[in-house]
Amino acid sequence: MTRIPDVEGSDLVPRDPDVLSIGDRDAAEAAVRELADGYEDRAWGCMSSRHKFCREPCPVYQVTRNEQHTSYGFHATVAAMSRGLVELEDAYEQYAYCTQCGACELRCPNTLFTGDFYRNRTQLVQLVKAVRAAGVKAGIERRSWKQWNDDTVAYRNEMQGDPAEVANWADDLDLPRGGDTILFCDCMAAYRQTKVPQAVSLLLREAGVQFGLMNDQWCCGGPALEMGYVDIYEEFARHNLEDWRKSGARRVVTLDPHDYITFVEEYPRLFADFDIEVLHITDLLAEQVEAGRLRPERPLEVSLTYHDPCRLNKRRGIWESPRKLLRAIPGLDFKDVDHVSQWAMCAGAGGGVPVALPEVAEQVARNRLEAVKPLGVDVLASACVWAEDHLEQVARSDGALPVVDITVLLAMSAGLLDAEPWLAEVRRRRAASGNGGSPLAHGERVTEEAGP
Amino acid sequence: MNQRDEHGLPPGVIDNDGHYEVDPAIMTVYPQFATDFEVDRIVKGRLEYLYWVQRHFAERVLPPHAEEPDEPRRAG
Amino acid sequence: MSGTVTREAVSELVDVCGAQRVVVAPQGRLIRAMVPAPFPFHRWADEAPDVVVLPETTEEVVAIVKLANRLRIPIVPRAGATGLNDGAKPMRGGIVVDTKRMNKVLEIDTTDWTVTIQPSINMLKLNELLTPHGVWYPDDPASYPVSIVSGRVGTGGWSLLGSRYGHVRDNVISMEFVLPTGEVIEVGQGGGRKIRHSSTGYRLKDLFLGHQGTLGIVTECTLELYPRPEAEFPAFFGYESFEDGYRAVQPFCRSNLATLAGVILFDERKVEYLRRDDEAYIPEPESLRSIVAVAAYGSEGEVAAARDRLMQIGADTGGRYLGEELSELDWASRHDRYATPLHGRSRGRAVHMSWHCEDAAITYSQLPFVKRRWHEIADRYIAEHDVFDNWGMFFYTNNAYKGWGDFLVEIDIGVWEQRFDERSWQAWTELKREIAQVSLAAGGSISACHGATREGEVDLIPVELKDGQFDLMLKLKRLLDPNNIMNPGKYLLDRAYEEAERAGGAPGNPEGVPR
Repeated sequence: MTRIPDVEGSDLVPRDPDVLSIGDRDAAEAAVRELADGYEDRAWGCMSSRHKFCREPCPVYQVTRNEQHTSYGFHATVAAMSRGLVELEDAYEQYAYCTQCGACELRCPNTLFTGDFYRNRTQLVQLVKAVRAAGVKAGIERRSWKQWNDDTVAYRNEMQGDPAEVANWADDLDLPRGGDTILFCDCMAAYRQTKVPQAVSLLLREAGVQFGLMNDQWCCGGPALEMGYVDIYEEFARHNLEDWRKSGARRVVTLDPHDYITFVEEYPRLFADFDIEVLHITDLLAEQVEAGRLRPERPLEVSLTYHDPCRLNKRRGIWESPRKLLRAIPGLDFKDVDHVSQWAMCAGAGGGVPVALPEVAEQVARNRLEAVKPLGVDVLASACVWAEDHLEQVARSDGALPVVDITVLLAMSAGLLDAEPWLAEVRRRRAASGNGGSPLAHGERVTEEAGP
Repeated sequence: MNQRDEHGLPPGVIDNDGHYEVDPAIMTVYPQFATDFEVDRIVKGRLEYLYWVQRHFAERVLPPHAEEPDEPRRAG
Repeated sequence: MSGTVTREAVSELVDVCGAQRVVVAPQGRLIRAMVPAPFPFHRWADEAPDVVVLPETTEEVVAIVKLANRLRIPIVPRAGATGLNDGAKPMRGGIVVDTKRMNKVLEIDTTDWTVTIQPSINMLKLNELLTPHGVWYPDDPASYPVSIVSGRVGTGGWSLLGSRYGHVRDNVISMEFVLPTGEVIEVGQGGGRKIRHSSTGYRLKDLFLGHQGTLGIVTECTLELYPRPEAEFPAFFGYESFEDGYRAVQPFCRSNLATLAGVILFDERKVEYLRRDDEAYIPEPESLRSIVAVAAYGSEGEVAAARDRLMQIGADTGGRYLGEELSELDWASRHDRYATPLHGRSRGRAVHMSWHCEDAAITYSQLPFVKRRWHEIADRYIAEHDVFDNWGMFFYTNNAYKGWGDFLVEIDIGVWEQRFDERSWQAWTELKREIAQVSLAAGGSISACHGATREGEVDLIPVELKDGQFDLMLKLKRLLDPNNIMNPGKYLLDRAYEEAERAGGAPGNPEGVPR
């Protein structure tokens, strides 16, 4: 079969100018053959059903309402490419529309209702990564992603921060390097959201957990892989593993879910002998609180809700430990939204989407913040610095709801960080905003956007 | 029709330590690859989702028998 | 009669919606060639529409319809595309009008208890927005988590809870509708948008509930609201034979319980199909051959009383209550669990199969006849072709607000689409036709709720709608869509224009009046 012919006038709908191609058709065809080899049957596994349960939970689809931007949309295009009806150069642009949150994989009936019986579940995240990587291999890529990943290589981190300053956040903390347990700090946390690794360090020290920093921390490499830059990812992964081995590390603690998922899912695929235990900070801290080694005693009198980071909740099933931490903090009025409802939510910061499609990423964040409004809370808490940073930026232009990481809350409540300035700021914003929206009154006529 | 093998299972089903699964021998067209972690995750996710569906439709699901006055009320 | 999409048309579509909302990419067209019903993938390229457009307002829809009329280009409205018939499948290329961006909630009226929406919103999402107000829109098809209101209007769909809450026809109060010529009409019960029952004028609303996208595009709906259920009670009862289950259905259906939402009978082939993975859930003894499932919704007192009566009927009919876990969780998984691709079996191997879901409307007395004949047909095709499988049958209460009446009769045929070629596709069409013929022989209707636009069964439409009904359909179609641009090729409605042509007329001159 050959590519279906374009309709007359197709040139009136311009292609995405962010997509570059060196125009190597042979390379593109070879890349598609390789994709088909790995994914054609899986694509049919999805396409055979096409009942589309993956659609409504998808945060990007909720913004675009374009069915190409869904799990079955991505699978259908792979099936079509396998039959030669679509070329990689046409398809490539579609695959940017995915934060790789994992909602679709989890929600798909093939997964939820027969995945355990057949040991075979929908694997959309791997599919998207594979198509993006196939593009890069064939000389098709996004200008924006290329720039981003070139910068990451140059700076060794995603923040264009001076690599020599990657541990500056720890300057006043007198932390050792190396050892049995390494704290992996994440790029965003190291250079911008520095309160988080500071809070984490103080909490771990207070609980008597020994840990050290890496000798030379590089980006985990996960985002590069998510965007299709396999070689860059592998270079970073090798560097990090070597650094850990040199330190004698047997355990790595992550404080951001993007690093966590990379170390837990991808590093073992790359390194046959990967034997490092990877632990996420919320699980580790919940253990300490339960054991009484951490005592959050200072009340924080604010109302808040918690955003489940996708890579913790949907991709790994970690939703209990963050809630245990929040419930351990006295004075908090915690208005929870259950973790299953949150399958359909996302902050929009993952999968390279803010880099390639900033308007889409912004709208995903807006939708997330809209969902918070009816709760009428003072603060939005989460456990992912990338989500927090992105939500904060979008919130700034829209009511400025304070966003905070739960480790910072815990450290304040444990008396390790000064809570007063933060509380004062929250009170100030609460007074300025009139405490957000409230459920609609009986008999009122209202107009509402259909949100997530 | 309602065939059973010597282990009392339908055709193509094996008992993997109390967890019933399809026999890989009949999965000759599609590979199996889900890890044990993923299998556990799927089972947990399914139950969580089904309880969520119940709450979505109604406040409570009633048990099959009338409840005693002091019996704890089952949540939806 | 149908034109092709030209540069001029694309240019006008871009003028109406902007380039961002016009899709020409091949993958965007190919994915919109199909719905979940079995699809001829071996001819995928031939089935793709030419262009897709995603309007956001009624004005944009009007502009699109008008230009399609002027340029004689087929247009096919597409909402959820989760229908099990081929309503949203383009027969002649053209423009797919993908309405999913029209999903705003316009008004929630908690005094008169209506919700007014741009109609391309999913019912589960809509109900999440309604829950804080203590109300809901009770349309619950098997596709509830993904199904979209405007598509439900197009198919005139059936709800799993219809015996309690009614079906789509009962719960859509009024609509704003764009006719194939681009005129916008309001159609409901009389004139008031929120009036449910009136005797002013003709009952026109029904014409547009189940039209399969052949009479226009819905752009706004006002829907009924109900109080959110305080309580739910589902129960599954096992029987040792289909005959026992079949006999048990009557007392359940006639139980005089206002909260009864539905009664579902599973035949022995369906139980066998479920056993393909059931052992992963809750193993049941071999003697279990048939199941009757019931569910009740409403206020807690009423549902508790219904529960007691239903449990008694189960016992009195010789049914074995299958337990709380199975009853509750199988009922909660009613949207997701019953048709999953990997349950397909071809010559003993697990293969990914698509799913054909038949949906005849049949009276109770004819259910055993239809069951026997359908299985005989299915098994005959399975013996000859590797691409089919038999996933058994369901029988559901089919009527609004009552448990008796006719039944929605479903046989689920697994279809290995990846292996389709022209020969197996023709066999599929023949299988479909034989099944539909049995429905008619039983005095039934080919389709209770999906629609009957498919290859195979569509030839039988004039047979089912005999004695003038099909002729009236043709007249109405020609009246409303003089140029045959609205989802052309469905329901043999082309005949409306062939007759006019023979009489000397042409599209645009439907009465054949000489110029």
